[in-house]
Amino acid sequence: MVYNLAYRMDGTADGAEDLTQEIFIRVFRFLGRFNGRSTLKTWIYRISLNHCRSSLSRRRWPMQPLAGDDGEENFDPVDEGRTPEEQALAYDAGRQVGTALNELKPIFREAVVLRDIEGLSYEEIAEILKVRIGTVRSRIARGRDQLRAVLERSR
Amino acid sequence: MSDHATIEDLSAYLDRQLTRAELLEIEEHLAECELCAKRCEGMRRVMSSLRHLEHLAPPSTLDQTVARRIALSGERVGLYERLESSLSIFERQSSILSLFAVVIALAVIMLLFSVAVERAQNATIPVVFQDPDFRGEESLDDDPAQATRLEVAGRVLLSDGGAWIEEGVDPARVDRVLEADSAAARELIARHPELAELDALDRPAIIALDDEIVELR
Repeated sequence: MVYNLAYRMDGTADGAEDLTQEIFIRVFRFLGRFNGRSTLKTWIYRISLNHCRSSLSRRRWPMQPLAGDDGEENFDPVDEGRTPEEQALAYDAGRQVGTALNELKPIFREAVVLRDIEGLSYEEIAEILKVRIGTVRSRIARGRDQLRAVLERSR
Repeated sequence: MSDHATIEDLSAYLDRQLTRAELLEIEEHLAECELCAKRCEGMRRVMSSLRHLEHLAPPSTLDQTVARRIALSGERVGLYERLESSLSIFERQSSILSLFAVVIALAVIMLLFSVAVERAQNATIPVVFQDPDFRGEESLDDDPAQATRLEVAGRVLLSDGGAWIEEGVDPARVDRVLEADSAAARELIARHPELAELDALDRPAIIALDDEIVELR
């Protein structure tokens, strides 16, 4: 959860590892101040995202490409029910979409990552980002549509 | 519906976040509008690709590194070993295991919390737990004796029950109110990264900054 989020926000394994360490130290430090107003899960997500934002803003957006050092996006092509050809196409799409995430503005990337990668509900995302559900809906939509446009351009 | 569906409607349609009436309207529109149907299919492909991205496992040494760094940052050694085990659970991702991990981690952290409360009552560490028995914040807010003092982001904050107010700052003189996640708040945190810590408080904070009094909500 935390490492994946950090990786998707930072774009590098090394950066994600550093961020994860710092986030858990922060969680530990603030644990006594968790007051139960939100769920622990959304509270940890919120601390994680805030730390990613503040840390990355010092380095300026956009970050490094999400592809690994060898240029390969980490993508799990295994999907029962798909032919090898479909799996290869899915792998390619995954690699492209991982890279295209970097082209999104941070506010759209956050929303898309929380929804489509972390699988959170609109309500949870609204709580984490401290915005209204309508704003969450709009950011997710714009993020997805921009990714769609990037992927269609790259074809 | 106007000429074309909005991207918000298409995205919400794919997430099944529409009412039945809206859903039928979109489906009807998609059946007759090639442009919107193509756009919707493109968004569906994006979602599918994102969901198939591999959930990455952190390096195996990360748990130990975090525990070591926490141990170095304080003296609460007894708690770190338990935290370490909760971290390892939190970071092992698999669809079924992650749900199980959240439950276990919650239990471990609740345990940590109760131990920490016990320690805080006896120790001199400057951490004040607002909610030692999870009795609900309202009851504590109503009790002036529960007013707390924190040191966050290099500032001393005092609670008046509803907000954290920096020591020496008059809350009646707030010059600017910034909503969390607003562009102005982001810009402020970009200039003062330490202020991101205030978000963890889950309550508005009133602080002096750059010759003005700012309320961060």
